[in-house]
Amino acid sequence: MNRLPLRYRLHFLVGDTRLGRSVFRHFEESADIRQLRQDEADVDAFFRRHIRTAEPATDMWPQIARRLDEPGARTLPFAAILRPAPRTMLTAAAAVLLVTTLVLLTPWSPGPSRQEILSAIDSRYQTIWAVDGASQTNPFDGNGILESTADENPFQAAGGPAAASLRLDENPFRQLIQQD
Amino acid sequence: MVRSREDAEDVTQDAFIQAFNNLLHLKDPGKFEQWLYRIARNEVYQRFRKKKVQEVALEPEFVPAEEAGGKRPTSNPEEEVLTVELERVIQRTLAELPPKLREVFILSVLQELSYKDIADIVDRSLLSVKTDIYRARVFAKEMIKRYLTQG
Repeated sequence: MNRLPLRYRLHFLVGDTRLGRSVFRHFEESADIRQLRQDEADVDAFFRRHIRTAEPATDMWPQIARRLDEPGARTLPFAAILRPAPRTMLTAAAAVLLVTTLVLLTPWSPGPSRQEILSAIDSRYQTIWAVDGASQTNPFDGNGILESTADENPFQAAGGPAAASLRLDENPFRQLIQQD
Repeated sequence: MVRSREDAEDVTQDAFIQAFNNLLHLKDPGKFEQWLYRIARNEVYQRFRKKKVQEVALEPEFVPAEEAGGKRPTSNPEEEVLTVELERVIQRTLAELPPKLREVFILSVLQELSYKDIADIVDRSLLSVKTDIYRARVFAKEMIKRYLTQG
């Protein structure tokens, strides 16, 4: 490109139609270029004239037909629609169904956090404590459950201090979980 | 392209069977011919790969005109000898063309397909096809000229 005269480079950049026309006129009128094109045509004609293309054997088509009739060699277009396609579609549908089921069944959440467990237990325990507070009874003292002898109450049998040391407003599971 | 009649017939049969089995994939029925050429071309290259043929090193198999099913235009014995010799030179010239040039040259000169169709068949750009056909012509011309000047 850089070797070209400036006006040709300008023509390349801005597309001078006048110059373009003159180039095409040159293609048509130049003896050298005409000779070149004639040579090409001669080469083509020469090869077309002298190459003997092999004629196919007369039994070529019967052979092809025979091969098409061989089992497995022929896949009819309509059979291609009817057979492999539904099988493929069923497989794809089954795969989609399986994946969907797995997605639905997979526990994506990591599960409740420790704080959530503690809160749930606290809440549960507070309920028991509130009920007990309202009735002003110790749920572990056996009242209401064991009506008769104090000997049958395991908490009472363990002694008054054991039962008394149990603070109702304290969640006994919290300590266990926090130790975990 | 395959240089032997048996291979050519096998490739042709395979190409037709492939075409029959893949007719559903033909998007544009108007381009059936190019599509069939393309299948045949793939069959040829597949065969080369299978056989691991180094085709450039192969000696071309010369098919006499009668065997090829053609008829010689002359009955003069001397002229016939020259014709046979010329055919041999032409076959050799084609054989010595690099495969990339040979296939586009044959499609252009013998099958008389357009550059655009050839580009579709060989899956290359139009410019590349034009350039290779030009190179093939120059090469072929030189080969024939060398033969003629050598007498």
